[in-house]
Amino acid sequence: METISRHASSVALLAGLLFGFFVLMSYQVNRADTVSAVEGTVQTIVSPAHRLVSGVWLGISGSWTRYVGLIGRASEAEVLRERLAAAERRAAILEEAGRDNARLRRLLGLRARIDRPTIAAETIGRDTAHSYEAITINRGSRDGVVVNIPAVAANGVVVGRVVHVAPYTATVQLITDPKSAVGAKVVRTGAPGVVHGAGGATLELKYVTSLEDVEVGDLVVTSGDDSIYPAGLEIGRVVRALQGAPVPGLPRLPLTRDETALFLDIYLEPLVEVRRVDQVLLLIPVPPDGE
Amino acid sequence: MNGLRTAGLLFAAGLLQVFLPRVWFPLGAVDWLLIYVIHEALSASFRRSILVGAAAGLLQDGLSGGIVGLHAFAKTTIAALTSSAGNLLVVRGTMMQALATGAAALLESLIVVAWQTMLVRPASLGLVEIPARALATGAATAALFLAGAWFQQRQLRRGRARGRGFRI
Repeated sequence: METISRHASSVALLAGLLFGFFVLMSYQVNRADTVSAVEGTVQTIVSPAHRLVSGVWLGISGSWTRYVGLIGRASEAEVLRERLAAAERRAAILEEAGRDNARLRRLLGLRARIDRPTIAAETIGRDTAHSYEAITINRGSRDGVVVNIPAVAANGVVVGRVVHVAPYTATVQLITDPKSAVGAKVVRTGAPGVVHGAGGATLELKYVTSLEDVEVGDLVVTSGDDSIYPAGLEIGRVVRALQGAPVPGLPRLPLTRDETALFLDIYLEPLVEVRRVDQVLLLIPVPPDGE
Repeated sequence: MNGLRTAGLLFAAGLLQVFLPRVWFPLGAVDWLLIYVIHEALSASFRRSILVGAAAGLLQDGLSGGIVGLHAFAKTTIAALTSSAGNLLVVRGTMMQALATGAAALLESLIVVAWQTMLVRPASLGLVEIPARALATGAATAALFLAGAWFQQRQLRRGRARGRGFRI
């Protein structure tokens, strides 16, 4: 009996609930203002949970989006870094090509000014630890290079002379080598001398008598007396000019030091850094008329 | 205490219902509240079943923002029918639970659409969505029961292992 009663009450509860929901729905459909009231009440009850879920979701999705965005930015930055590196490499190549172009243009300009056949060559090796300071160039006997032809830089300044020739390469002894010798003269006074390497990047102008007038800043050019370098090629500028040492055996008194010195000590600074020359122009000697 | 547990589970199911579709839209086809209602209907008393069904439906109405009472009516009806059927038939095992929940989801969708038609409201579920919702809810029930069985076995194994260790 009790079971039946409990079951009946459950059925009654079910019927009541269903009827209540039916009435609720009917109210919402028939009365527009009631719809919002009922909905508003229910929404007010559940809105804290809704807000909580939305907040959590927005937080998680925002963090995820930022994380994914960060990964995207990182990979994008990597790509951009690679592009930048490639662009820098290209820029360096172009810059080097530009410098080469400028040097070659100067060589071409020089070639037009010089009234003898020339061979343009590039430096492919430098050997300053050798018995003499030298560079190796990419032209050899197959190109018509022979020993003792002079090499000048793009601006026409003397670099050295060919001392050894192979079929495809040649060795140029630099004027900074202490064993090299170039017939030279001071442009302002015409004082003759011989230029030797003085160690390092400086040159020494020897055998200029102490009677000559040489000043700091004077330009020194080839004299053409050595039959190797044509006359008039620039070598360097005087950076130091002193009275030389007294001649041994001569009485020191009453003569002053200046009166006993035979030659001046003259040091030059080359007009080109010969050890760093990348391109040279080889000046082919012109055979004398009738040969 | 039991009421609090039920309220907490209903709240969790409601959260899943709202939260999961935002993660992946197809997960919106699973009716987590219905899964809990069917579980209660098959394991608890008739009275409790219909009360849980009514509460779940009202919660869903509140969360969905539609006609208040629509899902409450449907879920209460489903809870009553399932509870009654559970007294007549033996519904045990993962497959049977999944089938029961899938069928309940199908019936609930039909009730909702029928009410919407009668109330001259646009139907919220289409011809494809109704079976899809039933299948998804049934599959989710199966997954939940399998996961629950796995956890139970794991706990059982741990308990046995602890027991052996104590004896040694």
